[in-house]
Amino acid sequence: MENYQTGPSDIVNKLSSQYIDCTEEYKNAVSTLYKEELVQYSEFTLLDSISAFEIMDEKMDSGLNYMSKDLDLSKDLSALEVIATMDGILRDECDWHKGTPMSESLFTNLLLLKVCRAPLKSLREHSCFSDCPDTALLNSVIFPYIVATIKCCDLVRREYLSGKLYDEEDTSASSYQISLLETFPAEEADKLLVNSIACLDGSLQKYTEETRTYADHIRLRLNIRLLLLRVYQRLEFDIMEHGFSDIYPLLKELLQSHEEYAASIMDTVYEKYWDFSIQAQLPATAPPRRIPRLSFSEVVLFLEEFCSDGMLLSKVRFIDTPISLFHYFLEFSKLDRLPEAYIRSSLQSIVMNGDLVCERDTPQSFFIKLLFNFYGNSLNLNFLSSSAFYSSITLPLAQSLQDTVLRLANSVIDILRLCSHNPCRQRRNAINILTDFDFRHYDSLLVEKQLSIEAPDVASRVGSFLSSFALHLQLSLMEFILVSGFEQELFLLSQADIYFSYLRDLYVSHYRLVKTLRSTFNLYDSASSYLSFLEHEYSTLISFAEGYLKMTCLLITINAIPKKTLRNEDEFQKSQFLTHFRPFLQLRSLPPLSLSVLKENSKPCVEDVLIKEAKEHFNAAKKNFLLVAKQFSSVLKDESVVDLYNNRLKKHISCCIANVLTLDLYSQNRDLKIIIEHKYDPGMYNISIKK
Amino acid sequence: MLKDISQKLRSMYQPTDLNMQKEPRQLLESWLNKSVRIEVSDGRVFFGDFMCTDHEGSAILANTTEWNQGRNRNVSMVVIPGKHIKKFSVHA
Repeated sequence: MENYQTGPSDIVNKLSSQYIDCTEEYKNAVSTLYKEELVQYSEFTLLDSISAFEIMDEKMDSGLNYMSKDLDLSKDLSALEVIATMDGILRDECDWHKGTPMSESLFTNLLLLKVCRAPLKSLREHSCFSDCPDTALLNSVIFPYIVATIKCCDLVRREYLSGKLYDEEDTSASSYQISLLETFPAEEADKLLVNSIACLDGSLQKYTEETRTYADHIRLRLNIRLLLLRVYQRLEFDIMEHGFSDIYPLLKELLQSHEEYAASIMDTVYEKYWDFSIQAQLPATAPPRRIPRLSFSEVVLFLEEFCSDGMLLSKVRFIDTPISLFHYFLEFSKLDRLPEAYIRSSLQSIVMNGDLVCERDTPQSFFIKLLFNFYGNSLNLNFLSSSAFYSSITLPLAQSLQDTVLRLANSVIDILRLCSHNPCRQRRNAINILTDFDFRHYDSLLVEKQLSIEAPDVASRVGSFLSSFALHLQLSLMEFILVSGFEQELFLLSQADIYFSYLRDLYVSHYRLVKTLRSTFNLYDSASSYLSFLEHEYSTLISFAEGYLKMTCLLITINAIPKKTLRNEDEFQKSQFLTHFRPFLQLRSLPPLSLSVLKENSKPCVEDVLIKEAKEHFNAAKKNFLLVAKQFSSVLKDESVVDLYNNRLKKHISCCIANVLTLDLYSQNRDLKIIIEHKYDPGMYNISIKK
Repeated sequence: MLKDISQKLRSMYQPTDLNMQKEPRQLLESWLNKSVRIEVSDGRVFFGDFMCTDHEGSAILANTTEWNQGRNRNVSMVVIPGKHIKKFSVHA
């Protein structure tokens, strides 16, 4: 519902007749007030007026000097104008996705605004542009295109309003009380487009010569819009997947078509059918901020990325095992480019669809299968789903065990959910749920202790299976929090030595945990190859982190990283330490963390020693990453997950190679200047020689 | 004598400067939280609840509707500088 009415000015006159003119009295009265004296309503404070618009101020008053544009809809658009208008509307839509409010993007197109404001009856009767005949392009092409565009935006907007995505996303979801055809079914919009395309296919002879010449270009745009509508509707995975893969190859053609035909007349159609000061008609809006708009090639790039992300998303249904799904979600959160918000929101809706995790299992059965994948089949965990076992133990223990399993399952689902958030939110949410894992670890220890008393046979076989898994998840989360903090440049480079020191220690703890599990449960056969892969991965990551630690100490020693010297250096270091490591300070499941220990671990050494050790570690890491990648693909056979993982490892390997080469050059000539860059991995720096 | 007494009485009940000041302020206060109509210098008309004013005649309106060229829109809270107020009307 919109608060908007058009009508002749006698409506204002009619309203005004109920008012008594008190201009003179008002002016006389205010002239008697002292300077800075206010007459204000008792419940009004000046704080309330902070958001007020000042009328006649050009920075705040969007209605100042506004002259509305009248649309002449008695004449049809030419075919070229239709193409250019469709491109302009697509560009507005992409601008909106990128963060431009609707008042400065979608609603600037007067044809689209007219459709939004039309009563539902005229939408259903297709009579929004009734001044033109039905066969006019305005009705047969533009109207269906606009209706479908608005429906696409409505579907995206609902994602934002449903709360799955947070306010940190760039998109402004306000529609200024203007309808986005919420009650108009998407299926009808689909039908309109299908009919429009069919008309262009079948009855070309009823169109003008010009239209017949450009029919292919018009049809191309209608097809893209139809596929986009189906993708946004998210009815079935199949349809989505086909939609993304069908749109992608059409985009190059769209760009060519735009450059050849539409680009030259965009200014003309903007003049006729766009009003870039439309804010003056929208409730409570400030004047336009003149946000730079996307060029059409950027629009096409945006859509290409959207389709690529969508094709990646649709692979999730082919992923077999819970452990592969777990890795898929983790890798999804570590992509180079942040996927479109709608894609991430779709991923989040997959996590728990109804009561099922990824449309497969209940949370408990998903978690139990995850445990099976983690430990391999040689650790018999069937008792977790056996009612006979639960009957054989006391009720309190049965309850505790089930509760602990359920809580751990929910914590795992929380990890999956946060993989779809934007990076800042992801990190904050990871910190929020970190203490949950601490509690889960503690709960698991209690349950395992009780199990050893009541069911010693089972306990002797499975030992600390739950608490160890809880600890594994907790360590993974801590590594994520630390690494993402570095990627988001929350650590100064001058603090990188402390960062790498702790990261290395985390990897060492994780490595020891996995190694202990393998030896405790005697999991050395191929059935436990996931644990074997983890062991190799963490030993490689230790080398990687150690290499960076040595290299960072070297860079600080040679002043390539300037070490800040401040008065009260100790106080500064302590406050920085508390800022970055506060989430880890109170965890009961790990040894206490102290700044002095970290500083001790990262004490600078002789240059030659640092160079030698850094090179050794990077070479070892590089060699072992290749083996780890191979092992990963043999353990988790899902191609899409393997590809994502390998892409990430390639960046680590590239960093190792670049660092070793630079260290080699530097060791031969100490006069060379080392620079720090982010050439291979946005989250990890590498060094090179300044040219 | 009667003339002297009536003059004396008149001077007793003559409004003082302070009283004169109170009346206009009371008038303004009587309009607070009432619906007012303000026409500004460029012809636009604003209907809203009168919240506040100052010595320059600037008015703050809440729940405001702007009318411009036959169209209206909600503009929530606005500050209208006194120098731009062409007409000030109060709901009967």
